[in-house]
Amino acid sequence: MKILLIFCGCCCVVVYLATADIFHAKKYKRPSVADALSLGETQGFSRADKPYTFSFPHDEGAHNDFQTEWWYYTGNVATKNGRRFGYQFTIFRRAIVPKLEKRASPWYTNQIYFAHFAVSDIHEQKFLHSERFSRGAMGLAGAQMKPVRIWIENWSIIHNDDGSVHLDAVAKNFAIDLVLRAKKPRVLNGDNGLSQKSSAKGNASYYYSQTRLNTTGSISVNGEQYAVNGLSWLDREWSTSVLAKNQQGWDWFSIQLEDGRDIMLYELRHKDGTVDTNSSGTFVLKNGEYKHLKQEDYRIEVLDHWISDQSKVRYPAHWKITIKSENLTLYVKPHQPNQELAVNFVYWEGAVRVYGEEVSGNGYVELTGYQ
Amino acid sequence: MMNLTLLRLGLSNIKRHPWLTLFLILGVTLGVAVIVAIDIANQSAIRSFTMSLESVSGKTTHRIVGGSEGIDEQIYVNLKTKRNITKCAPVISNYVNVGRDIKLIGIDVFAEGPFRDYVNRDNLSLNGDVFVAFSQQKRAVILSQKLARDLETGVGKTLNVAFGGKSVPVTVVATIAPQDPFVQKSLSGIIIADISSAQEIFGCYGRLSHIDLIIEENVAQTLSEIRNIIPAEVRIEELQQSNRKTQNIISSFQLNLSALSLLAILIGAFIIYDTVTFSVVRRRHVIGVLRSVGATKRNIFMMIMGETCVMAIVGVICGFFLGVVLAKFAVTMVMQTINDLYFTLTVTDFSIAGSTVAKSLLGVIIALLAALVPSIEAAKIPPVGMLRRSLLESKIHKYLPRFMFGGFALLGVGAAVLFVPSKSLTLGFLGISLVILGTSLCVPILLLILMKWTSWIASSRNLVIVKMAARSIERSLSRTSIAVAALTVAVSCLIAINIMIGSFRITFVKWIDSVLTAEIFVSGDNKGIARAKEFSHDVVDKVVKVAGVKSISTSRITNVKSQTKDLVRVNAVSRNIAERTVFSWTHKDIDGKWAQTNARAIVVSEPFAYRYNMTYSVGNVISLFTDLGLQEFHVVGIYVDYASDRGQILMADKTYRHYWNDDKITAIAVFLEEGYSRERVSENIGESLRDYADLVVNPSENLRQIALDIFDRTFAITFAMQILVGFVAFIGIISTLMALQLERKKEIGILRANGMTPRQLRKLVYCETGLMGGAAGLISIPLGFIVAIIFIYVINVRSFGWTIQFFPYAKYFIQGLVTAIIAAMLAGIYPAWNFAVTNIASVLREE
Repeated sequence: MKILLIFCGCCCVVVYLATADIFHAKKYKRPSVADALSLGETQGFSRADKPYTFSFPHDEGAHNDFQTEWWYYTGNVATKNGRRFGYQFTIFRRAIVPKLEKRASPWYTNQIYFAHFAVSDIHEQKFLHSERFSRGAMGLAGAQMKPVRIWIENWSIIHNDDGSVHLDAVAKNFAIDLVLRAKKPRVLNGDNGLSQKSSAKGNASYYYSQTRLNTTGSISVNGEQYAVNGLSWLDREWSTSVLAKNQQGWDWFSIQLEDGRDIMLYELRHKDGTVDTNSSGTFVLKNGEYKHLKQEDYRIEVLDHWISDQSKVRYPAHWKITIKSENLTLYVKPHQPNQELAVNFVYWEGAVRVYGEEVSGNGYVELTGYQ
Repeated sequence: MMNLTLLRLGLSNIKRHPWLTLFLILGVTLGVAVIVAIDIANQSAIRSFTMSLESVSGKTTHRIVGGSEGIDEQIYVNLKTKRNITKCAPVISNYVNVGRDIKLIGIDVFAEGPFRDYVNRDNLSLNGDVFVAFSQQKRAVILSQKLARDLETGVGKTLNVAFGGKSVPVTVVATIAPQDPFVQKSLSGIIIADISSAQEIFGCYGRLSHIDLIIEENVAQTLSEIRNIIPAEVRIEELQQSNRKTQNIISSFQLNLSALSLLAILIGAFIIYDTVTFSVVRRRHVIGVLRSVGATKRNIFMMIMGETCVMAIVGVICGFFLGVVLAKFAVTMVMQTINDLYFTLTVTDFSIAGSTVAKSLLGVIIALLAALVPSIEAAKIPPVGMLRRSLLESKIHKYLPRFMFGGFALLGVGAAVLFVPSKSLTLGFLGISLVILGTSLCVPILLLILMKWTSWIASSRNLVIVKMAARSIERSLSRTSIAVAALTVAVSCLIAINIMIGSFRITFVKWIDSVLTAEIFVSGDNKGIARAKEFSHDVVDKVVKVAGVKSISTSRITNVKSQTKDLVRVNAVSRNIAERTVFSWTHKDIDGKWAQTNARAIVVSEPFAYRYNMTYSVGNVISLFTDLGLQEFHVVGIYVDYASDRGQILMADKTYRHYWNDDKITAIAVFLEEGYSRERVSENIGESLRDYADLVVNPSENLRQIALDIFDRTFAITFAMQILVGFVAFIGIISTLMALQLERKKEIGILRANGMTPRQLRKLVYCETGLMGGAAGLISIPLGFIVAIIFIYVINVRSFGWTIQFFPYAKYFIQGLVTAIIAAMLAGIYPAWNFAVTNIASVLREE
C-alpha cells in the first residue's frame, strides 16, 4: 500500500512538472533620460561644436543630421474663474542612424518621433499624461516647412500664417487645443545659442527659447472642456551628444514673473552629487533683452522633497533660488506634488508656483536622473 | 464504511492471482491509454491552433481586413493621423518556407506595444544595436531562439526563405527568448521583420495584410467611427469570432477520434466485468465463510468494489503514462492531417491538459460501474454458500429473452436516432453505439443458438470433443457470452472501418483519375492541400513557350470570406468547366448551362453544398466579400470533389479576376501535343522555371501518388486507432478465455482421471476458444456490414459531406472472421498447455 502511495505521489509530481507553466515575472527597468541622451552610437552625426547662426523659420523645423531634437512646450493657464491647469506638450525627434539609405519601402526611415503630453489639473490635484511613438515615415510623424508643422499621428504643432502657433493633442481622457502668440523675441541660450552641457567639445546643444507666449484656447479633462488663458514657454534644442558619463541628470527651471521678467536656469548634477560648472541660465527682461547667467551667478537650494508613490523616486519639491547678480531671491514650489511622467523614461515635469518678497509668478520645472 | 481488514483480504487475493490482476489492470490501462493519447492529440492540436493564430494576432480584438491582396496602407495612416485611434497596428504577414511553412510577419515596432508582448521595448530598446539593425538593415529579421536553433541559424547569419517561387535571403539580427512558455512556443512558428523589410521581402508595396485593433471600451461607437473613414470594400472583423470559425473546421475530425477512443474504453469495460465476475465466482466459498463469521452484505460489496478500485487506479496510472507515450505518435499524425487538410499549423505543441488527467479517471469510474453487477452478485452469496454456478447459469438462461428484447429495443432506438434528419455528428455516434450495444445484448441468445446447432451437427458426425466444447460454452453462457460480445464489437468495428476506408479509397482513386486529365502540373511545393502556394502570372508565359505544350489551364485557389464570415475556398479555373468531362455532377449535368449563365455563376463542391444546405435546385445564392464589396453569386451546379472536406467554390477565372484584384495563380495544368513524352516536357518546363525556387513540375502520375499519400496519411490515425482497439479486444478475449479455462481445473482433472489424454484436452480447449471466436466472427459479419453502412452514409456525410460509393468486398468480412478465430485460438494456448501438465491428484484432492 505504501509503495503504491509513493508511486502515485511521484507520478503526480512528474505530471505537475510536465504540465505546469512556470512563470518568472521579470522586472522591467525603465531607462532614464540620461541614458537616452548619453548612450547610442553618435558617430556620423553633426555635433553642436561651433557657433551657429540661427535662421528662422528654418530652425523651427527639424535638423535630421543631429541625433536628438525637441519641441518643448510648457505652460500655466487658467479659466476665467481661476481654475488652474499646467500642460506639457513635447515632440521629440531621434535619428537611429545618421544615414538614410535608399530603400524601396516607404515605411523605411532613420527618424523616429515620440511625444510626451501631460496636463496638471491643479484644482483636482490630478496629473494626466500620455506618450506616443511613431516612425518618421508614411506621414505618420514628421516635421515640415511651409507651413511649419511638427506632428506625430494626430498630435501636432502648426505655425499659422499670422505667426501664432497651434498646439493640438488628444489623449484618452484629456486634450489641449491652444493658440500661442509670442510676446518677446526668441532668446538664444548659452553662448549665442550654443549651450555647453559638459566639458567635452561637442557635448552641447543648439538651444533657443520663446519665454513668453500668450496662450488662449481650451483644455479638456475627463470630457469637460475649459476655456483657458495664460502663458506658455517653448524650448527648442537639438544636439548629438550632451551629457558626459559622470553626469546624472538635471534640474531645469523656467520662470515667468508677473512683472514681465523670465528666467531659465538649469543645474547639471554629477553622479557624486556635485553640480557641474557647465550649468547656466538666461535672464530675460521685460523688453525682451536677455543676459547669460553662469553657474556662479545663481544658487539653488532644495527645501523639501516628495517621494513618488508610483516609482518610489525621491524628488526635490521646494526650492530657494538666489540670483546674486540680479539681487533676486525666489521660492519655487510645485502646484501639486505628483507631476511625474512614467513614460518610456521616468522624470518629473511640473507646473510650479513662484513667490518671493516683491515678486511672484509661475513656471515649469523638470527633474531628471533621480533614482 | 469500507472495512480495512476485508480490503486487505481482497488485496491479498490480488497477489494470489497475478494473472487475473494483470488482465484487469491491462483492461483499464489500455482503455485509458487510448483515451489519453487521443485527448492529448486533440488538446495539442487545439493549442497548436491557438498558438499559431495567437503568435500572429497577440491581444488583437478586431482586425481590419480586405480582399486577397490585403488593404491599402493609407487606411492605416488615416486611422492614426485623422482619428484618435491609438491602439492600432499595421501587419504584413504571409507564409514563407524554410523547409517547413512558417509565418513571416512585418510589424511597426512603435505601434506594437499593446499587441504582441514579445516585441516590446524590453528586447528592442531604442538605443540597442538590435533595434538599429532591425529597423535599418535591409531584410533584417528576429526569430525565437528555439526557431533559430531548429533552422541552424543565429545572429548575423543569413537565412534563405522561399516565397512566391523565389528564394529571398534575410539576415537574422537577434533572437529572443520570452519567459512565458506559451509565448515561447508560439514564436517557434514565426519570423518577425520590420514592416519595411516585410514589404520588400513580399514586394507588396502600398499594401498591408491587415490592421490589428484593440478596442476595449465603447466598442460600437469606435467601430462606427472607424467605418466612417475606411473604404467600403474593407471590413472590420471581430477576431475571436473569426478564429472560432477557423477552429470549427477541425471539430468533426476531432470528434471522430474521440468517438473511437471511447470505443476502446467500452471494450475495456467488458474485460473488467468479466474479470471481476470470475474472481467472485471462484471465491464464492471464501465469501460464504466470511458471511458466516459476520461480514455483512455491505462489507462484501465494498470489499469487491474496493479491490477493483485499487486495481483500476493502478491501471489508470499505467494507462496515463502509456497514453502519453502513444500520444507522441498520435500528435504527429493528427497534426499532419490538420496540416494536410485544414490549416497550416506553424507551431506544434505537445501538452497535457488538466482535463486529460480528469478524463483518465474515467477509467476508474468505468471499472467501478463494470464491477457493480458482480459485486452485488457477491453480496448476495449466502453464508457458507454452496451456491453452484449452475444457479447463476440458470439465471442467465432465464434472462435470455429479456436480454434479447432489450437488444431489439436498443436496435430500434438506434435506428430511429440514425433516421432523425439532422447534421449532428454526436447523434450519429449515439446511433452507432445503440446499434452496437443492442447487438451485444443479443449475443447470448445468438451464441446459444449457434452452440446448440454446433452440438447437433457434432453429434450427428460423432465429433465428441466438438460437442463437448459446444456444450461447455453453452453451460457457462454468463461469461462466454460477454467474451464473445466484446470480440464481436471489436471485430465488427474492424470490418466496418476497413470497409469504409477501402470504399473511400476506391472512390477517391476513381475520382482522382478522372480529375487528372492534364499530362503535367506546375504548382507550388505544396505540402498539403490546406493552403496552396501562389506565384505570379508570368510563370504562365514561360510554360507556354516550352516545346510540346499544346495548351494550359490555370487554377487560382484562395480563401475568401462569405457573408457569414466563414472562410471559403475558391478555385478559379481558366478552362471552361462545362466543356470538360472532369467534373461529375452529383445531380444533373450542367454542360452548356455554364456558358449561358451570367458572370456570377459558380458551382460548388458536394461538401460545400452539404455545409450550406444546398440541395440541387435553381436559385441557390451565396454572398462573398470581394474587392468590389459584398457580391452575390449564383450556384448552378454541385460537383463531386474529395479535395477538401471544407468544400470549395469553383468559378471561372474571368469571374474571379473581375471581382478580386488578384493576378496570382496557384497551379497550371499542361496539355501536351501528340508525340511528346511527359518526362521530357516536364524536365524542359522545370528548366525554364529554374529561377523559381519552390515551384514543382509534376507529371500527373506523381500528383496522383501525392494525393494518395495524403489520403493514406489522413487515415493513418484512424488505422492506428483501429489497431489499438483491436488490441484491447484481443487482450479482453485472452483474459476472459484464460480465466474461464483456468477455473475449470477440477473438471479437467476429472476428465483426465477418466482417461482423456493431454492431446485430447488441448483439442478440447482449442475447440472451445475457436468456437467462441468463430461465433463472434459470424455475428460480426452482419453487424460490421450495418456499422459500415452507418459510417459511410451517416457519420461520414455528417463529418465531411462526402458521398462515398459503398464497396463491401468479401475480403473484409473474411478478414474479420479469421481475425476473430485466430485471436480466440491464441487465447487458448496457455490454458491448453497448463491443463496438459496438470497434476491430476493435486487437483482432485479437494473432492
